[in-house]
Amino acid sequence: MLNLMKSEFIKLRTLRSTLVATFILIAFPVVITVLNAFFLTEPKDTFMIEILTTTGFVSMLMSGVLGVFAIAQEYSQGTIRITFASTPLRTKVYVAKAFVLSLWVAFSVALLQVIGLGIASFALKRRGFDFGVMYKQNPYDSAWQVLFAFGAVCILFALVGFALGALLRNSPGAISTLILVPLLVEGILVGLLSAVFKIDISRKVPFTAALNSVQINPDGSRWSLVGYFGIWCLGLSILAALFMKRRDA
Amino acid sequence: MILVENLTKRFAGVTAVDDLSFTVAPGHVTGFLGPNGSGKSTTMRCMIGLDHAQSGSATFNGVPYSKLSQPLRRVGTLLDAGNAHSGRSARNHLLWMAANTGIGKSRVDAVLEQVGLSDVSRRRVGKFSLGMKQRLGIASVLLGDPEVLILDEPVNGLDPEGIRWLRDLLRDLAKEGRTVLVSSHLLSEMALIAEELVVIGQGKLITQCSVGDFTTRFAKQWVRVVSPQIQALKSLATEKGAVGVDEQGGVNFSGISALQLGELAASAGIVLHELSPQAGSLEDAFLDATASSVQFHSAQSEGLGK
Repeated sequence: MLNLMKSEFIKLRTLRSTLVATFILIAFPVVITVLNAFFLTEPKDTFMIEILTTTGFVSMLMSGVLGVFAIAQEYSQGTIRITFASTPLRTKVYVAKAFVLSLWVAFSVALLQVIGLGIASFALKRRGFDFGVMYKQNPYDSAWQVLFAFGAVCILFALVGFALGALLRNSPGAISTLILVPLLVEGILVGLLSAVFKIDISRKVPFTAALNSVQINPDGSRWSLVGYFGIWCLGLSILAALFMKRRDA
Repeated sequence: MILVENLTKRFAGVTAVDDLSFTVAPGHVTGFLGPNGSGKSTTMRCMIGLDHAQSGSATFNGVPYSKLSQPLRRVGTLLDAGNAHSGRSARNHLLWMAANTGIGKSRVDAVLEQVGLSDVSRRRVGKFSLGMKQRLGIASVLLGDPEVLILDEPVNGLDPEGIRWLRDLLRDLAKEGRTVLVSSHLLSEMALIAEELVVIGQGKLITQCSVGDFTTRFAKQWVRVVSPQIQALKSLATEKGAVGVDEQGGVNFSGISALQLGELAASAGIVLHELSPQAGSLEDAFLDATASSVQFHSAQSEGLGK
C-alpha cells in the first residue's frame, strides 16, 4: 500500500496541471486576504476569516478539480491501464489515490491558511489593529473551527471531484458537473421545489450544506453540516469505486 | 508459460473473443496474428484483467494475473504505446511505475539507457514521436525484468534500426527462457521474430502451430518451370491432373510436385531450364488462413477479389 501511495504521489507532483491547480488553490484566497489586510479601511475582528473562507470557495472548487485530474486524466491518457496492470486490486487503487489526494489537499489548505493568515496578521499589526485574525465574537465557535471545517470541506470537494472523475472518466464533464451543481443546479432545485411544492430542501442539498459549514455563524451545527456533506461524498465514492471495479479499463 | 482457456468476451451483444484457448510456451517468441478486429488486443486486455471476460481464464505459470504479487515483476505488458501521460516526462512516467512495485531509480535509468531514451528522458512524452513512445513502452515492459512479456504491435512506429533492435531483444529474452507473446500486422517482421504462431479470426482460434507448419498448411505451393518445350510438358502434366498457369516466361504448376515434374520431363526428353518448388510467404498463408474471418475489407482488395 505504501508503494502504491508513493506512486500516486509521484503522479500528482509530476504534472503541470495538478501543480497549477494547487497553486491557484493556495494563491487565490491568500492574495485576496492579504490585500484586504493591507488596504481595507475599517477591518472588523472577523473579516479575515470571512474573506479567507469566502474566497476559499475557489480553493474548494480547485480541490475538486484536483480530484477530477487525479483520476479522469488517467483514463483519458490511458495510464489507468498501467495503474491497474501494476495493481490489479482496483478498490485498493481507489483508496490509495483518494488517501494521497486528501493528504495533498490537506497540506495545500494548511499552507494557504498559514501563509494567508500569517501575512494578514502581520499586516494588521503593522497597521495598528490589535485583534489579528482570530476573533472572539461567538463563544460557541472559534476561528479554529472555521479553519478546520474549511480544510475538511476542501478535502471532501476533492473526493467528490475524484468520484465524479472516476464515474464520468472525462475531465471536462466531471469539472462542469462539479462547478454547475453547487453554483446553479442546487439553487434551481431548491427554488423550484419551494415555489411549486412549498418544500424547503435548502438545508438538505449537499454543496449548500458544505458552503454553510464554513460560515462564521452557520445555519445549523457546523460539524453536522460537514458530516452531511461527507455522507454524500461517501455515497458517491462507494458508487464510483464499484463502477471502477466492474467496468473495463 | 501462458495458458488461456475458453476465454470469452462480449461487448454489447458482439462477441469479440469466442471461447479462445491457446498456450504460449517459454523459450521462443510466439506471434499473435489476426485481422483487424479479430480480438487480439481484447484478448490481451482480458489476460491481464483490464477487461472482464464473461468466461474463461488466463494464467501465468499457473497463477491468474490478479493473484500475482508485484505483477510488473512477473508480466511485462505493452498494450498501447500511447499509454503514458503526454504532460509527464519519460523518466517520471517510469518512476511512478517503479515506485508502485518497489523498483529503484537506478533500474529506471538502466532501462531508459537500454531503449536509447536517456538523452530525452526529461522531455515530456507529448513531444515524443510514435517510435520514441514505443521505446518508452518497451522500457516500461522491461522495468520489472519480467519472465513473461506481452506486446501488442511493438514495432509500430519504430525505424529500421529500432525494429532490428527489438527483434534481437525479443529473441534474446526468449532464449533466456522467458515467455514472449507478440502481436503484429507486419507479417514479414513476424516471420523473422516468431517461431510459434497463434492465429485468430473473429475471436476464435484458427490455428496454433510453428511458423513453418503454418506456411506449409495455409500458403499455396507450386512448381515453376522454364523450358523451351514448355507446351509439351504442360500437356503431359495436365494429363496427370496438374494445373499450369503461364507466368513471366515460365509456367507455374500446382497439383504436382517438383519430383514428379522432373521425372515427367526426363521420361519425355524435355529440356528444363528451371525447375523450382515455390511456396507462399507468411503473409500469403495468413491471408488464406483468415480469409473467411476478415471483418474489414478495403475497397481495393474487394475489387481485386472480383
